[in-house]
Amino acid sequence: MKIEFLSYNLILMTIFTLAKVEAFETSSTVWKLLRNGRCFVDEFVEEVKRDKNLRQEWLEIIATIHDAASGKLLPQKRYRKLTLAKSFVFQAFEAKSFSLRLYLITEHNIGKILVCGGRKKNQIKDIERLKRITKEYSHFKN
Amino acid sequence: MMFTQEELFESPTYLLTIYQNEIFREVHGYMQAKGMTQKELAKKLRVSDAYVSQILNGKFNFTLKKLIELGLAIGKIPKIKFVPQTPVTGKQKQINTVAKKKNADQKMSKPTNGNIAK
Repeated sequence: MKIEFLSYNLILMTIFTLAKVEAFETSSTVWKLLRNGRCFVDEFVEEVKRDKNLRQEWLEIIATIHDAASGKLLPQKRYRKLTLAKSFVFQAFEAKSFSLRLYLITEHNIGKILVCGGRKKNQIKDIERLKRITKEYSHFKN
Repeated sequence: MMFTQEELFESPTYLLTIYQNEIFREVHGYMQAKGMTQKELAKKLRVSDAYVSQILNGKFNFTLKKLIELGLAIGKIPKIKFVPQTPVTGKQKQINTVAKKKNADQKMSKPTNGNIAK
């Protein structure tokens, strides 16, 4: 299942697509955000796949996303709300394991949207990326 | 996301995280309701602050006995039930729905047959 949002820039056309994550049957639907067909979450998953040690951590993150999408309270060490700029229209969250981070936003009437992921050591850079992509998504959607 | 629903239900790590989160919610809920601090709960359980901290970080991975003690300390009994590994997937749900419909049809037809017999 895919939802496409077409928007026009003066020079470039950007297409945002939401692809449903089928592994979950939760009260809130979980989506992956694609920008011009590129999915940052999938790219991150590919990176995780290459390192067998990260497999268990990734499973922890998936379990956390499952609970979050089921509207359940989670420990701060596993899932925390990100405090971003006031102009930021979405609520942003970080799902955590020891060395991995997965960034997502919640959108009313849509659900949880997974935006990008990364290593703990690149956290600041990845949060900036989350802000940039989400701002663009919000801007073009409106 | 790398895993199917079936694969997730075969993973001890996935299931452990789900249960650890559940234990966190129970303990957190109890502390909130009682207005209890981490220190106070540790005292009640006769354990270290670090032990309670681990629970509240969603990292409970102690013995079954400890789980029972924790449950009793918060006025609850952990209930363990083993269910078939196959998760209720969309396909399974469809089968269940068909089975339920069949049962319902059978139930509906019984009194009618009975009436005819009379």
